[in-house]
Amino acid sequence: MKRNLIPWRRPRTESAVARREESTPLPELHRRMNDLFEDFFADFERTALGPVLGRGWAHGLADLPRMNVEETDREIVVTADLPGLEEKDVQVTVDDDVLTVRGERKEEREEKRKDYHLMERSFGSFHRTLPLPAGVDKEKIKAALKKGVLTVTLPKRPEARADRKAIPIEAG
Amino acid sequence: MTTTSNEVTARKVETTRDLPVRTPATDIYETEHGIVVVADMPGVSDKGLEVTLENHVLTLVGRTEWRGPEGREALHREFGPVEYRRTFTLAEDLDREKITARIKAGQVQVTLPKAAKAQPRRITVEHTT
Repeated sequence: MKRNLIPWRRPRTESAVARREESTPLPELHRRMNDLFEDFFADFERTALGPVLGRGWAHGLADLPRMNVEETDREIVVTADLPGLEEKDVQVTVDDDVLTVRGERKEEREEKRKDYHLMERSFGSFHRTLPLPAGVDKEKIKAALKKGVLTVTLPKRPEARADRKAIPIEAG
Repeated sequence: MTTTSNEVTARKVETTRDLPVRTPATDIYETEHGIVVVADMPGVSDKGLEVTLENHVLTLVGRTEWRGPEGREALHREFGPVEYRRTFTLAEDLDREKITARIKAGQVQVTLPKAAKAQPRRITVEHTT
C-alpha cells in the first residue's frame, strides 16, 4: 500500500544541499562546487541542447514539481512545490483512486523585456499523478495553495483508520 | 524589505544553522528602466525573506518555514526545509536607493531601477537661425 504512494518522477540532478557553516572551509568549498556545477549546467541549457532538454532541467523543477507524501493514522498529506502559481493555475482531481495535480505556469508579460542575463526558471504545463491507497474518503479531500506550496489533505475513512493496531508485546 | 532591526537578524541567523542551502532558480532580465531579478523560493513568505545590499553585492536569502512531517510519517520526500541563497554583484549604474523587493506565491521579485544618469535621454537640439 505504501509503495503505491510513491509518485513517479524522472531522476534529476540534486541541487546544492551543502550546509552553511562558513566557519569551516570544507562545507563552504562543497557549496561552491555545487554552485559551480549548477552554473555550468545553467550555461549548458542556453546552448544547442537547451531546447532539447527543456528549460530549467538542471535546476530540478523541469516539468514536474517536487512532491512529499506524509501519513498519520487519520490522513495522508501530499505537498508540492509550485512557485509562482495561484489557485486558478492548478487543478487537483481524484478519479479511480488516482490523485492528479496538473497546472500551468505562465510567464507574466507585463512589461517589455529586453535582454535576459539569466534564465533558469521553468514554465509550461505539468501533470503528476499519485495512486491512492484504499480507505481515502474522497468526499473530504481538501487542497490549499500557500506561499507557492500546494497541500492536499486526504482524510482516511473511519474504518481505514482502525486499520493500524498496536500489538501488545508480552513479557517473556 | 531589508532587515529592520538587529534583533530580527540575530534570531534569523540562529535558525539557519541547520538548514541545507539551495540555489534558487533565477531569471534576470533588463527592461527600459532597470534590471529585474525573479527567483523561485517555494515555501518562503515575507517573514522568511531577507534582501540585503552591501556595497555592490545584492544578497537574497529566503528561509522556508518548517514544513516537516510534524508527527506525520514521511512516506516519500523530495523537498524539505531549506535556505535559498543567492548573491549578485550589481552594476554601477543602478539606483541603489530605489531597489524594491516583493514576494508572492513563493516567487521573489527584486526591481533595480537604473540611475537617472544611465537612463537614455534625448538631448534637445537648440535651434539657431
